[in-house]
Amino acid sequence: MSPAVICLTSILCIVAVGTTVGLLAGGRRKMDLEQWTVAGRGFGAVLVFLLMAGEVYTTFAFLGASGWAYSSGGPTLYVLAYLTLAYVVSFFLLPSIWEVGRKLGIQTQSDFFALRYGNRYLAALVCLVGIASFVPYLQLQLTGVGIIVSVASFDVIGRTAAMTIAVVLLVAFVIASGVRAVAWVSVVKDVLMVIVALSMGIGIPLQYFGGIGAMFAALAHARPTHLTMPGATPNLGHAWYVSTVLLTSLGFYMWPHAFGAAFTAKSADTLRRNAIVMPLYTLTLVFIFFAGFATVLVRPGLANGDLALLTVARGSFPPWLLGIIGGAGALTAMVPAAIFLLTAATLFAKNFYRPLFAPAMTDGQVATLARITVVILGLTGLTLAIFSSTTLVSLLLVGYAGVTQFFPGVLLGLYSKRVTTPGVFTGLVVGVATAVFLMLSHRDPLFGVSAGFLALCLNFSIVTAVSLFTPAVSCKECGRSHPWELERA
Amino acid sequence: MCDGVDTGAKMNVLKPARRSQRAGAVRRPSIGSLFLALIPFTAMCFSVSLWDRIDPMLLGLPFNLGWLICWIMLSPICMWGAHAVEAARIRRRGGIP
Repeated sequence: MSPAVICLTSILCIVAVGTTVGLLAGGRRKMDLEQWTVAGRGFGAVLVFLLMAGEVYTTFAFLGASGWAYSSGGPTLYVLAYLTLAYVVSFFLLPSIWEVGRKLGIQTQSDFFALRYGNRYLAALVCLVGIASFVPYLQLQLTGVGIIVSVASFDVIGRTAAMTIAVVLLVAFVIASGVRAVAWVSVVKDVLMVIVALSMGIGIPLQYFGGIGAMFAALAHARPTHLTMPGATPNLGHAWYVSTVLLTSLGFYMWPHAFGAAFTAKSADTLRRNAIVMPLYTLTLVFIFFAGFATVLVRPGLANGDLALLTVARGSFPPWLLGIIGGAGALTAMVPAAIFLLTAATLFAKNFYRPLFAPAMTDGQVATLARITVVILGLTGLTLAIFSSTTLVSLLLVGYAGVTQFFPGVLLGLYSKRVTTPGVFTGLVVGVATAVFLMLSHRDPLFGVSAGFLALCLNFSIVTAVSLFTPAVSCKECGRSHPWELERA
Repeated sequence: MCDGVDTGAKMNVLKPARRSQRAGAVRRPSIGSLFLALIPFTAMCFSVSLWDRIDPMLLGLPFNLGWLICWIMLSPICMWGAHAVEAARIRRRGGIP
């Protein structure tokens, strides 16, 4: 068999196994809205871990982390810090979110805002910002599938073909099994990711330098500034590092899908225990970094850093291993893409369309509309990915800065009685506008500090100032002294 | 869902004294666990200018990378401590952690 055939067979086998697991994940359960979006709130520690790990390790981590290590050097270390610290933040936030979610039957982030602040326009705005942030993220995953599968299959499967197959399969398992599919496909994906990360992170330095230590010694000698900040970039220094780590670790669970994953857990303590062990999984990323740093000396001068890792892998690994890398890479893009579709579709149907246009819809009709939206969004993402532009990554970073602006509303909404709806509304609008303006006009970083972080600080100040001058949320008409109070019989 | 709400409501009726004194907002984390969480933040984020250098190499890794890897493994220990603090507090309140 030729190398391309071996490669292709392993890729197809892995994708087939992943898809089958996804299609069967729902079992014989009736997939109503509660099962579909939050799995009946029945996930134990292991499944919550896998679901969350599945969401974190996207193609952005896979290709982006190595690509950044290759092209920027030192600043890329922020990824290790922010992921670990995001779990530290989640230790406090997620159990509280789960608690109110359980009491009030919350399924999405927008539900949270609607119930806490009693304003459907705020909830719809949260919804729109969330969906808008998802689009570039979804497109990036699909582009990633295209790149990984075409490089790993020696260009036998073209990018467009790979992306189309991936979309069809993932739309099918999302519709069939909802969030259970995502969690169970993650099982397959995470096992493969660990194998791939270890074999590349150890294999490439070993083959070209004789070991990881020798590789770093050679790199420190040849490019002494590459390994510290600002590395190969002009302006990503320590102020940028601190502000970006704060922005991304606080904002990480503000992504609607990450926020929503909290509701799948069986208990608040499941989420706490999960937050304790999650950082250890970040260690697999360290090996991707090793591979990325190794490629700096092995293949210098590549224009597209994101391709560095796969180019070197194709030159160094046997075809079957390359096939596993390709298959794992494809699933790594499909799992997050699936949860984005699921979350965005639920947000649209339940939190945007129903409250604003069709208040009489039943939960069953919402579930049907959500499934139709999955198909439409999948096709939109595919079209965008096929005719993609190169500004994608910058759009994704805008999306990240955008969702982070939910943080004051969530934090103060949970722990403060004094925060008010006008405060959160104004803060959110100003925060998102500032972030979008600064980033699209290429003012990021501004004075060496991450633009999204500046927007978040502004957002916080406005929420505080406006809340001091407006009356607190009152829920007397619904018989509760505060939205989080249990309804009294 | 309904079960959860019912039990909660009954508990409120039976044990009014044990309800949070700040009825309304969700219970805030304790100072002790927040302090433990501040340790990884200080080590991995705020102190960056102290450890962002190549030498001395740690087990063949540049110092900054080695330092972060070290803290990826130490931060679960801090959070395990925070969990112990929180669980003890919840048990004192008469709940299930």
